[in-house]
Amino acid sequence: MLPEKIYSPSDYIPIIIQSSIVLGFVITAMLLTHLLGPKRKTKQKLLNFECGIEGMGNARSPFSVKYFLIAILFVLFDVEVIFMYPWAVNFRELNILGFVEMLIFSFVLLSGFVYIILKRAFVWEK
Amino acid sequence: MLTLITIAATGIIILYTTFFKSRKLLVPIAITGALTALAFNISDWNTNQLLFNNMMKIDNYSVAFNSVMILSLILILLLSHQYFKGVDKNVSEIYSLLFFSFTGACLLTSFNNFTMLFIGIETMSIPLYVLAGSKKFSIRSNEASFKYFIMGSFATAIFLLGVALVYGVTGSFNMSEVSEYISATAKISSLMKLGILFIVISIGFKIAAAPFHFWAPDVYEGSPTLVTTYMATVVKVAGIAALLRLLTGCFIGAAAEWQHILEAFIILSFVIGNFGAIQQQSVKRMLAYSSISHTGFMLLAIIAINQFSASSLLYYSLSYSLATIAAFAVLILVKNYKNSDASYESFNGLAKHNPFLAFVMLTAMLSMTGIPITAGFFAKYYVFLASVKSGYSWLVICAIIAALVGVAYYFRIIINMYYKESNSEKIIKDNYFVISLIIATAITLAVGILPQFIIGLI
Amino acid sequence: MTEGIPLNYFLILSTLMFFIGIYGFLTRRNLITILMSVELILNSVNINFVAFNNYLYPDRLQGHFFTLFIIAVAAAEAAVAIAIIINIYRNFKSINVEDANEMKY
Repeated sequence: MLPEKIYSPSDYIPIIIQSSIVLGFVITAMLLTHLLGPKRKTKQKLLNFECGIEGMGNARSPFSVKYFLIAILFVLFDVEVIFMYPWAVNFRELNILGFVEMLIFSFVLLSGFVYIILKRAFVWEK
Repeated sequence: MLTLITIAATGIIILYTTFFKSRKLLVPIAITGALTALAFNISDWNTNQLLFNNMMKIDNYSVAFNSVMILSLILILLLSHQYFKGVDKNVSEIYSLLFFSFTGACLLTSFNNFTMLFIGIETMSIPLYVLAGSKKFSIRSNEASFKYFIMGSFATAIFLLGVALVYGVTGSFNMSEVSEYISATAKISSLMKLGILFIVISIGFKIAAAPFHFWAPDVYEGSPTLVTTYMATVVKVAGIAALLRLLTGCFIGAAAEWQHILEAFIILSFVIGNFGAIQQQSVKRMLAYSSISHTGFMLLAIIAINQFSASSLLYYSLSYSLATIAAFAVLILVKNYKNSDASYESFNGLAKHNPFLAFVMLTAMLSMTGIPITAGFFAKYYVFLASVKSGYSWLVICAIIAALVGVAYYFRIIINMYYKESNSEKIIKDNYFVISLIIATAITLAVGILPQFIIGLI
Repeated sequence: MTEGIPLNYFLILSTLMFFIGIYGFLTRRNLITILMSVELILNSVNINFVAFNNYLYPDRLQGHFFTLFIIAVAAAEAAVAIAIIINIYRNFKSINVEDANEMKY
C-alpha cells in the first residue's frame, strides 16, 4: 500500500518550477539562435535535406487503402481482448462455467476472423 | 434467450453462405431462422424469466413486441428475394447484417439493465449504418449512411451521458433499483432530471421523434428501399418499445419530468411530420415524413402511461409495421419498373393493369390514415382512448387534426392510382413478393375487423 | 492513488472534454475530425463513469464494466465509420461534409 498522504496544491510547486525552467530554456535557446545566427537563403539551403539526394513528391501522398483496412481490423480484434481482463481476474470464482462462456465468446470472435481471412482481406496483392 | 441465440446464429450461418455460392438458399435459410426464432419466442409466453443476473427480463411485453418485429422481419425477407435479383456481390452480408441488427432490436424489448439497453441500441444501430450505405456506388446511399452514422453516434454519446448521470445519483444500472431509488426519494435531484432528459432525447433521436427527426428524411430517402423498410418498421418499433419499457419500469416515479418532454415531441412530430409530408413530391420521402407523424401517435400511448399503454402501443406498432411494409413493397415494384424517382406520378393508373398492387397500396394507405375496417382505425382509436384516460384530451384533439391532415397526402396516391390515366403495363413480381403482400394485407384487414385478439394480449 | 483530488475535478475534466467534443462535432467540416470529436465525447463519459464508481460506490464495479462496453462499442463504431468514410472518399473524392449535400429538404 502507498503511504496515505493528502497532497495540497503547494506540494506541486517544484513541478511548476521545473517545467518553467525547461520551457524557458527551450524558448530562450530557440529565440537566441534565431536572432543571432546568420541567414542566407539560397535555393540549395531551402531544400528539405542537404544529403545529396534530390527531394521528390509530397510527404502527404496518399497511400493504399489496404493499409487502413488492416489497421481497422486490428483495432477491432485488439479491443475485444478488453473483455478477457475481468474474466481473468475472476477466473477461479467463475470456474468451468466462465471458461465455457469465454470459449463461446472466442468462438464467435474467431468466426468473424475466419470470415475475414476467407474474404481475403489480408491479401495485399489481388 | 433461445430467440436471441437463434437470431444471432442465423446471422453467422448466413455470413458463411457467401463462400458456398448458394444464392438460392439464402432467403429460405433466413426465413427458417426467423420462423424458428418466432417459435422459440412464442414458447416464452407467460414464463416471466430473469436472465443473466437480472440483466434481461423476458415477459409477455417483450414476447409480444418481439413477435411483431419478427413478423416484420419475415415479410421484409420475403420482399428481399426480388429486390436483390440484379445484385450479385455481397448479398449474404446484407442478410446477415439484418440479422445482427435484429439481435439488438430483440435486446431492446427485453432489457432490465442500462448496460443491456446500451448494447441493444448499439447492436441495432451499427449494422444499420453499414446497411444504409449498402448500395456501395450510389452517392445518395453513401451520404445517407454517413448522416445516419453522425446522428446515431451523437445520440449514443448523449445517451451515455444520461446514463452516467443516473448512475451517479443512484449507483445502479438495474431498472428496478433505479425505480426504487426514485420512489424512495421525495425530491428528484436536478442531476437525475438531466439524466432522464438526455436518455429520453437520445431515444427520441433513434425513433425520429420531431425535434430530433432531421436525419430521418435524408436517410430514409438515400438508403436502399428495403433497408428503409426495415428502419421504418423494426427499428422504430424496437426503439419505441424500449422507451415505454424504460419509462414504465424505471422512471415511472418521475413521470412529471418526462411527460413535458414527450408533449413537445408529440406536438412537433405532428406539425413537422404532416407539413413535411404534404410538401413532398417523392413518395419515399413522403413516407419518411409520415413515419415521423406516426411516431407522434405512438408517443401518445406512452405519455398516457396507464394500463392501456402497452396494449395500445402493441396494436399501433403492428398496424403501422404492416401498412409501412406493404406501402414500401409496392413502392419498390413501381420504382424499379418505371425506373423513376418514386414520384406520385409514377403511381398513375396503377389500378388498371395491376389491380392487386393497387388494392394492397389502398389498404396500406387507408390503414395509415385510420379508416375503419383496416387496422389503422382501431390503432388510433385505442391510442386515443389510452391518453384520454390519463387526461390528455387536448393532445388527442391535436392528434385528430393531424390524422385529418394526413388524408391529404395518403389520398393523393389513391387518387393517382384509381382516377389518373397512364400507359402502364403489368408489373412482374415473384412468388415471395406476392406472399408477403398477401400476408401484410390479410393481417391488416383481419386485425382491423377483430381488434380484441391483439388488444387483450398484454 | 486519487486521494486528495476531489470528485469535482474529474467531473470538470469530463465536462470540458464533453463540450470540446461537441464543439468539434458542430464546427469541423472534415469527417475524420468529426469522428474524433465523437470519440472524445465517449471518452469523457468514460471518465464520468469511472469517477462516479471510484468515489461514490467503491464497493461495486458496475461503472468500470460499463466503460469496458463503451470502449468496445466505440471501437466497433470507429471501424464502421472509417469504412464509410473510405467509401465516401471513393465516390465524392472528398471527405468534407459540405460536399455531401445530394439530398436536401
